[in-house]
Amino acid sequence: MESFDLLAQGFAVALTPKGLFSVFMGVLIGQIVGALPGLGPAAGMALLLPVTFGMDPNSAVMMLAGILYGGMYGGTITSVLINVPGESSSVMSAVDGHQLARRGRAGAALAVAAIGSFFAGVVGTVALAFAAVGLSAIALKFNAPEFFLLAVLGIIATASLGSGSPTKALLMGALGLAIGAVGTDPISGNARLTFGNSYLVDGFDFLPVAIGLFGIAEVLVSLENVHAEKPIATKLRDMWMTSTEWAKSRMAILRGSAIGFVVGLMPGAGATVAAFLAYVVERRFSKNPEMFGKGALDGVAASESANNSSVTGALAPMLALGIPGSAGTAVLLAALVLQGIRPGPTLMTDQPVLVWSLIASMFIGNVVLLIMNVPLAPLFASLLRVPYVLLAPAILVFSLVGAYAATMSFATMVIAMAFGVVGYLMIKADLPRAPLVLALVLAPLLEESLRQALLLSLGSPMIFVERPFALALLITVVVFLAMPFMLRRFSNRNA
Amino acid sequence: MRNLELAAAAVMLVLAAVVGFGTAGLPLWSDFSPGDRFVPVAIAVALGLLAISLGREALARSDDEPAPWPAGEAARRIAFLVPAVAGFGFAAAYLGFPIAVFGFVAFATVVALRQRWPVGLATAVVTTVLIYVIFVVSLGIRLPKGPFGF
Repeated sequence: MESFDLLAQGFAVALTPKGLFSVFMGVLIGQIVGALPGLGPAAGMALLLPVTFGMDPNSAVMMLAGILYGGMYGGTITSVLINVPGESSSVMSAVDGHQLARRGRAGAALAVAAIGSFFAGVVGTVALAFAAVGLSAIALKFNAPEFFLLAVLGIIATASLGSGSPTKALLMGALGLAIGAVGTDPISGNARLTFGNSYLVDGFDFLPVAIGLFGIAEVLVSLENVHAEKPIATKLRDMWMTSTEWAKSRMAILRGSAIGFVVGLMPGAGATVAAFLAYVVERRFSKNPEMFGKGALDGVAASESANNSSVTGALAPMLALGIPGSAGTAVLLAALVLQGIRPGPTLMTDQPVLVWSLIASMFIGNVVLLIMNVPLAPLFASLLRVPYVLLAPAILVFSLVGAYAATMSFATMVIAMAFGVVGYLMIKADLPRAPLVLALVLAPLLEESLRQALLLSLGSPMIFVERPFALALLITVVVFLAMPFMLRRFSNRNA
Repeated sequence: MRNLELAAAAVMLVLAAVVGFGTAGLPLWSDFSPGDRFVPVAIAVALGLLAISLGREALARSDDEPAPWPAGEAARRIAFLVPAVAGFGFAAAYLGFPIAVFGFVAFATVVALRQRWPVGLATAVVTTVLIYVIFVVSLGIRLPKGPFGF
């Protein structure tokens, strides 16, 4: 009952003119960012972080979260109409959605994606409310040893559950920790790895690193191959599904929503893994599996539902434990820290209005997005006619000015530029950027918790096995660490 | 791709050495708890081991796909844009942000991205106005002005 009261308070904040404006701007920007092939929601959030400095925490978080889940809606439009995934989680929508568009069923593809995303977003938000409360209740029993292991788990899980080489992901995680070690020791206050440079005494701030790695780097890569394809025309009257198509899609939406939320709960899995897993599962359940890859509406429904519900799933550990599970939630966590709020088990008790207004805003945001994506999808589709080559320089300069504006220092802008080049090289070398960013965000928590834990135990590492939650987390860390290598050895043996 | 991964592994090894030896002089252990150097040394060890593992994986791979470096027109765009980004920093510091924004967008669209100059100039003007409205007018951020007073 208390949760319902808090949710009502959350709606009271979210439904104010300021709250509604923040939600609307967030989902609108997210929709646009998701539709732009060169930019992801994490980049959009990083670019807009400086803008949130002048906002109150509730409005800032509602807007940034709106970009995060709005981006999942936006990625569908370019996937279906141009066959270019606006988001990596929209790849399966591009595969089948564009085939549907070629057969004159673009409207049906966009409609099922929007409805599926809406359903998944709303159901995921309800599930988030329960999951966050439950996780938070457990996490109140946590102390330094558990927080250290949670931070380690968050970094290792991105390597274990993400796509690509686990060695590369772990290496980037270690690099993120190394970058986080620069500056001032969190306990003694001694300068560390500054090499006498006064600019490094405060360490590397998250903001310019995120702007560089996600904003500048992604835009540079996207400008290598600029697509001049015209989007397939879609009219409002096309935005409907037949009763047969609806019957085929509704179970796909249900299954996709469930799979997406559960996958999203796991740090590091992300929307892409959720969308792909839901697609593969749906192919097994489908009455027409041969259509997958050739224009399966239920494939689009499943993957789009999953990528939306995974975003809400990823918010649960971020809000309840202070452990971001993706690049987007890492940016959101950084935004909260910049506002002077530390996510963790006490967040729901210390800042209930913030948490519940965020949850309430997600209900509102999904309604706004449904309106934007069903009747207004043709309008957004027309925005794709603006040549990306004209938008990209503006995005680059916005990111650089934003980096400067964050601290009113050219040093921040230079760091953003440097990490832009680093991010570009990382993309070329297929080195994942999300583990680096996650590790940078988690580095202070990891080090402080470790040192506090060992101080509590007078230097004995047995504290990590004597406490039951810590032992459970330690076993989980070991399993996640070994899992990708064991799976690779297993698949090599079978091959 | 193998050479690129080997280069990445080498860079990570160097960074591991920098982190490990760069904290020399700081205490590794302090009474009952880790000192300032404990976590950096642990990170350096992890970086080093993972870098070696990446290098071994790269060498052990039998097939080697080419690294996805841009070629032709794509390479030309990147070759112009990266210095332009750096140049923006200098221009902003000495000529002020409005001129730097206008100059960067005009250069990027016309020279790097080969758009028609009226379109490039129009884009530069629109972008400069938008940046001014968003950061200076709406957010109240005082962006540095140049020698011409703006």
